[in-house]
This record gives sequence, structure tokens and C-alpha cells, in this order.
Amino acid sequence: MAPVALFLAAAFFGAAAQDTQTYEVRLAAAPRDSAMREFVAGSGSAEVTLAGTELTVTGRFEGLKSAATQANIHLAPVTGVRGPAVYELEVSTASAGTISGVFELSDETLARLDAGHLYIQIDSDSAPEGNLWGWLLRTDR
Amino acid sequence: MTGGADGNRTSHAASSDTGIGRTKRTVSALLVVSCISTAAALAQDEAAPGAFTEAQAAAGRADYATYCAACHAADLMGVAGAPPLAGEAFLARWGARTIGELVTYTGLTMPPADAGGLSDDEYAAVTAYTLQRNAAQPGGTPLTAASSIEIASVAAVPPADAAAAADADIPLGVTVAGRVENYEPITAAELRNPDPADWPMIRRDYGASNYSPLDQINRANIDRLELAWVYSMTDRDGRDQPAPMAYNGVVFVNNPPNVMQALDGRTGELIWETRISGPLNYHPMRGSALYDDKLYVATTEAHLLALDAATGEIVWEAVLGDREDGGFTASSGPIVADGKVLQGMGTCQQYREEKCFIGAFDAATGEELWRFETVARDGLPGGDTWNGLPDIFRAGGDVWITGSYDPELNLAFFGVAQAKPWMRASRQTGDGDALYTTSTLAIDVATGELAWYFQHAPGETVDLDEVFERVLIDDAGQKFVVTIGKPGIIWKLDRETGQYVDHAETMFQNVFTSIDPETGQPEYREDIVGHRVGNWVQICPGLSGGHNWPAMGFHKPMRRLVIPLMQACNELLPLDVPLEPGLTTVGAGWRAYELPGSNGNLGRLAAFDLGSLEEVWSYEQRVPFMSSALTTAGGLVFIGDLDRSLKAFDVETGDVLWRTRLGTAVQGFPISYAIDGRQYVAVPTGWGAGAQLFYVSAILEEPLRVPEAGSALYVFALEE
Ligand code: HEC
Repeated sequence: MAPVALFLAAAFFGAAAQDTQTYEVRLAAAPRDSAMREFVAGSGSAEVTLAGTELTVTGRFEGLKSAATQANIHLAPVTGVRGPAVYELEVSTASAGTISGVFELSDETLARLDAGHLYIQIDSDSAPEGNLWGWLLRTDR
Repeated sequence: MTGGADGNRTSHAASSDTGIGRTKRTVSALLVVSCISTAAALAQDEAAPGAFTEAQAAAGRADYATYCAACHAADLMGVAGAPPLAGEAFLARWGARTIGELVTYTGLTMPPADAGGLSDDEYAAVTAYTLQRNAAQPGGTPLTAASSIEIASVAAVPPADAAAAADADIPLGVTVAGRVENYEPITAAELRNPDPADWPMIRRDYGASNYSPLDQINRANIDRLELAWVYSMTDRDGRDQPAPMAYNGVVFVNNPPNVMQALDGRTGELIWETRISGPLNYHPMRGSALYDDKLYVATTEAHLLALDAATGEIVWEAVLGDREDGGFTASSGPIVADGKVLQGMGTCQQYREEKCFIGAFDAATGEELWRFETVARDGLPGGDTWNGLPDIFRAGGDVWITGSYDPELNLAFFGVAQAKPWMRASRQTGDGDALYTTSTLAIDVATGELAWYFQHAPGETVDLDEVFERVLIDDAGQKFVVTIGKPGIIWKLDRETGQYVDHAETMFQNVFTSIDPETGQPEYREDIVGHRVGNWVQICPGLSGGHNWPAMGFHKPMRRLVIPLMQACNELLPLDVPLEPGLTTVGAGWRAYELPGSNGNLGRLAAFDLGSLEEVWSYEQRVPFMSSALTTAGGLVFIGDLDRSLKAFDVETGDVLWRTRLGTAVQGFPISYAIDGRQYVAVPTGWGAGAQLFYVSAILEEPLRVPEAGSALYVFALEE
């Protein structure tokens, strides 16, 4: 709880004057079939804040069936469709842990964020094509 | 007689009697046939005894546990919609085919998310294990995909199953004799304008409103609702999605497998029971119909029957499609219009000469009057929309939901499912429209001629079909047909002309980039139409559909469409499907994921204003809704879910006013009726929700504990 409060406070004081957007991201299993439950599993969440052009990500995850190997922000052609990794996040290489990162977004990427084309994906040893993912979607409209 | 396991289909079709006293094929008969054909197969193949080795079966056991058991279950009996791979039902489908065909089929299509992903040895091994679990004995010859040994010649119903089958060796025909006293034949006028106390057809009326004009149970007194009676139905012999009917105080309900019952609507006393056929019933049996002195029902093996509504005795039986070859079903249930019984067919994915059709049968005699094939053959209107494919490879166009009927226009309205295989790359239809798949059809009931069609997605390519309920609504001087399909889009058409009027998206979708506001024609996302065999494609909503068979309710006084929705996506893998006559496959693998923005809520019930099609309220929950939405003049919506909850919502606000929990998943079509001034709400529970659940079940962290027993009809009324 403490890091979140701190983070929110920082966001408030640091960027109050700027245009601030907050995204609550639910991290759930990447596409899987029933048999893949054995190695694609877990859950998590992330808070993502956009202050001006700066995107800040902090999140946590648990319940993976193997250690996380990497976490990225991906850029999809459209919401709900897979796309390439574009920003690399810090990630605990364990079955539970945290993700974080701060990025400067271009105008182009800002527009794509606004359109709902960005998602967070955590990969793991047993799920290299995506273990958890979650979409950055505006909830204010 | 060849192919032991198909023996009972043969005898069934051959029996022209009223059905009384027919028996299911006995197990001993199967074994005898097996022995004979074993000898024949041996003579032909000169194989050593045993079609596989012990080592193969042992390896296959491990492979099965790893790759197959999640869906087909450790006991091979199937869970969450995957069919059984052992026992009577499996042998009925596969007995007459060769071991090589089974290996090839499995290698082409299984496991769905990674079809072809196992080695040839592994596919041979899982097949060996499957045969062993079907009482086949190992021997010295290894099994290969080249094996031409007929499965029935080496396999049989396994002993445990055989015991159960022997136990269940119940005569067909009337199994509980009784008579509805003073049964009054129901007239055409009553079907057009049902008595408020009755629910005489699926979704209650010709317009498919799912709305009861009864208001004794209402928003003010719903907390006094209590159980009046409950009656257990047949368990676990097939998927259960029943649509009960109520007429003059009698409730008629279909149970799997192909059993009809008449119950006293006040007491729950069984009046009569008729067992129409055996348990070859992986498919559900959804509806039935009443007219005059008869009750009409279509069976899962694509037969259409008329029973005496007062006694359950079989009056006539018509064969819609040949089931000998693992083909056709009829899960939708008939509708009676203008003295004709109209029935559509399902399971049309096989490459074969016969096509699925909507047929009309004389209500009195069962004589076939006309049929309309849902797949256009070469040379016929629409026949040039299949990319020049030979007729035999034009598959799909299932009609697995009961149609609606406008007596004034004398038009019947049916939805037609997608083309098969699902994806263009697999089915080789190029960018052809593949008529009349994924369409609304208006058919002249007098002649069977097509009055008009509206194709919702020409050349549909991701299993997002539009087969579901057609709701007929007159509003502001216009006659509409309203429907919603798997893309979760509400469509409003003029039902006299088929002209597009309006549409509304009920949830996030990423399949269409635009829908023409003038014509309603959608534009597919580029990578969807540009897909290639072997490349995954992501779609929202997914195969379960934003909407599926759980039908909407149209609350007439408030002009609200109350629609059960499902929020899930799939990624699909188009497979390379060889053009081989007889092949049956949807030709794609799939994986599931949550609909972005749904917060993991698979289930949603939402109300939309008929005029503007704007959402008025929406309720979301983790667990999928599994019943239709029953709306009532009491201002209520009743709907049930997979997790056994039955809820009553306020149709105005969407607030949950009442809830209870039943024995197993609440699924099928809840109804309301009245006897002597007392209103009842009848709600079915059952097993095996069907494909729409199967496609999304991988999303749930833990499979829900949904009891396999517990199929029943629960009936509620206000405390007296
Ligand atoms: C993700 C769930 C899933 C997995 C895993 C899976 N299947 Fe299936 N299987 C299905 C479904 C669904 C069908 C019905 C397909 C259809 O009707 O097109 C099916 C059909 C079959 C059939 C045809 C049955 C019939 O009655 O016609 C066979 C045989 C089969 N599977 C074998 C296997 C084998 C062997 C494996 C493991 C290598 C496997 N399956 C893995 C879901 C699955």
C-alpha cells in the first residue's frame, strides 16, 4: 500500500499543473487454452500515470508458474490485438514481484495511448509469448 | 449391417412403427457385430491381432494426460463441451471409420490451440491409448496413420460404460404412460395470440419476445417468491438447454437425451414421458412446439417427430438428415406456422453432397412440403459466391436456432450460421460472400421461396455468426426484425423488405473497422481478411460471441431489449484443411482471453432502448449468464448463470431485486405461466453449457465447480 500512496502523492504534487491521466491496468492471463493453464497463469495490476508526455508504470504480479523473464509495453495495431514490444519495463525475475518504468512518449505514441493501443505484457520461462497482459484504457469515456 | 456402432442408427431409421417398444441397440449386439467385422478386418489387413502395441498405449496415456485431458477429461468422457472419446457416443461417430482416419483427424485438428503440434508418433500413441480405453487389445503391430482397420472391428463400449449402457437399456417410445385430461387442441389463432397464462412455444410467441404479460409476481412482492416444486430431469446424457412450454396448466419439457415429459404445472406431477432415442447426444435439444393436438420435437440425430400432446405417443417421424455418417443434428426445435412444422438443421460442417436446409413438414402427416438449402449450390442464385468451390466443399450454414414467424406477411425469419471451415484461408472461399451463411432469411411459408436475405457479414471469416433469435417488433408504424449475433451488434431491419434500418454495438469489438450507415455492410479489419494458414488472429468478441443462444427478452411496455452478453476474446489459428470428401472440421485452433476493459467480467446483462438502441443499464459479473432473459409485465427480468445463481432484475433500473442458488448451472429458457390465477416462473438447470462456454472457459483461473448432476426444472411462485 505504501508505495502506491507515495506514488499517488508524487503524481499529485509533481504533475498537478499538467494534464494528468491515470490508468488502472488489470493484468490477466494472456491468450491460452485450458491445457495452457498449467503454464500460463497468474494475476496482477498496474497503475500507469501520464503526466504531460511522461508515462510512469508501477505494478505487481503473482502466481506465475515460472519466473518472469521480461516485461514490456507493447504497441498494438488496435485494442485487443497483439503488437510488438516498444518500451522495456523493469521486472522481478520471479513468479511474483513488481514491474516499473518511466518513459517519454512521442506525440504519435501519445495518440496511440489515447486510442487504447498500448498494453503491458509480462513474459515468463514457461510462457515466452505472453504470460500476463493488460490494456491501458481510458475509463473516463 | 456394417460398422457395429452404427447398428442402432440403421435399425432406428428402419423402424417405421410408432416407436413404442423400440429398444436401443443392446451391448451384446454391438459385440457380436464387432467380432464379425474383426474377422473381416483381419482377413483384409492380414494384421496380427491388435491394432497397436502395448508400448504405444502406455506412451499415449502420458501424452493424453498432457495434451488432451484438460478438455476430453481423464475418463475420456469430455468436459466443458469437448466430446467424449470413449463409449457409445464416440463409437457411434467413429466406429465405421478407420484408425488411420482418426489419427489423421486428430493430427489435423487437435489440440485446437496447437493442431499438428505433436509428433506423428505422439498422435499414433494417443490414438492407441484412445482405442485401448475403448476396450481394444494391444498386439504386435504398431499403429500408424496408414491403418485401414475399421475402428468398430477392434473397439467396443468399455466394460464400465457397457454396464451403464445395459442399465440404461430402456425401451424407446412412451416410457411413462398417462393422459392430459381434457386436452384442448391449440389453434392457429391461439398461437398468434397466446393466452396470457400460457407459454406455448420457445420464447413464448411468434415474435420471439420472451415476454410474459403476467404481473402477479412483480417488483413490489418479489421477496415473497418461493419454490413451488422442482422436478429432476435426465442427467448427463447430453448438453442441456431446454425451452419448456406451458399450455392449459401443463408444462412440456425436453430433457437430454431426446426425452419429452408432460408435467402438471401446479404440482410437478409427471403425466407422461416419451423417450425418443438413445444417448447419442453430445448436442443439445433446445425447443419443441405445439399445434392442434400434437407436440413437435426435433431430435439431436436430425429426426422430426410429432407426438400426441395428451399422451406422448409418437404419431409420425420424419428424417431430416442422414446421421449414418457422423453428420447432421437438429438442436433448434421446430416452430409451427400456417399448418407447417418448420425445422432447421445443425452440424453442417462435413464435406458432403447433402446440404443443411430449413424444411417445412405437414403438421398433420409429416410429409415434407418444401426445403430451402442454406448453402447456395453452383448454378443457383448466390451459387457464384463460393469462389468456384465444388458443391461438396461448400459447408456450414447451420440453422441451430428456432425461427420466428409473421402470420400477416406469412414469412418465417431464420438466422443462418457461418460457413465452414470457419476461416477463409482454410475453407478456400477467397473473398466470396458464401451465401446464405451469416444471414437473416425471410422465407415465404407457403412456397419455401426466399423473400429476401440480409447478409450481416459477407464472407464471414472468424466464426462470428448471426444465427440467433429474430425478434419481430412493430414500432412507430414500421415492422422490424431485430437480432444480435456473435459480434455483439444489434441489427434492426425492415422485415417486409429486408432493408437495413439501424445497428448498435453493445460492447467493444475490433473485428469491423466500420459499418456503412446506409447499408449496414461492415468492413473487416485488414489482418482478419488477410489472415494466412498458421498465423494467429485476435478477435473481440470471440467465438463465444458477444451474444449466443441465451436469447434476449423484449419488454414490450418499456420498449426495452434486455440482452444476455458475454465479454471474451479469442485468438484463432486457421488450419490447412484438405479438400477431402467426408472430412468434418471447423479448421481452426483457438485460445481465449478477457475482453479489454471488461475487468474480467465475462457475464453481462444489458438493456437497450428499442428506438435509439442506446444502453439504458448494464450489469456485469465474473460468471457467464447461461439462460435466456425472461421479461415480465411485473417489471422483472429473470436470468440464470453458470455458477447456479438465478437472479431477478428490475427491468427499469437493472437492480438485482432477488436471487437464489440452484442445484447446478441455470441454463436454457426460463418461462412464466399461470394456473387458476397463480403465476409461476419455471427455470431449467442442466449440464454441458455448450460451445459458447467451452471457448472461454480457459479464461477462468480455476474451472468453476459446476455439478454434473442436477438437471431439473425449478418452479417458483409467490407464497400463498
Ligand atoms: C482445448 C480443448 C481440447 C483439447 C486440449 C483437445 N481437444 Fe479434442 N476436441 C475438442 C473439441 C471442442 C472437439 C470438437 C471439435 C469439433 O466439433 O469440430 C474435439 C474433438 C476431438 C475428436 C473428435 C471427436 C468426435 O466425437 O468426433 C477427437 C478424436 C479428439 N478431439 C481428440 C483429441 C486428442 C487426441 C487430443 C490431445 C492430443 C485433444 N483432442 C485435445 C477440444 C479439445
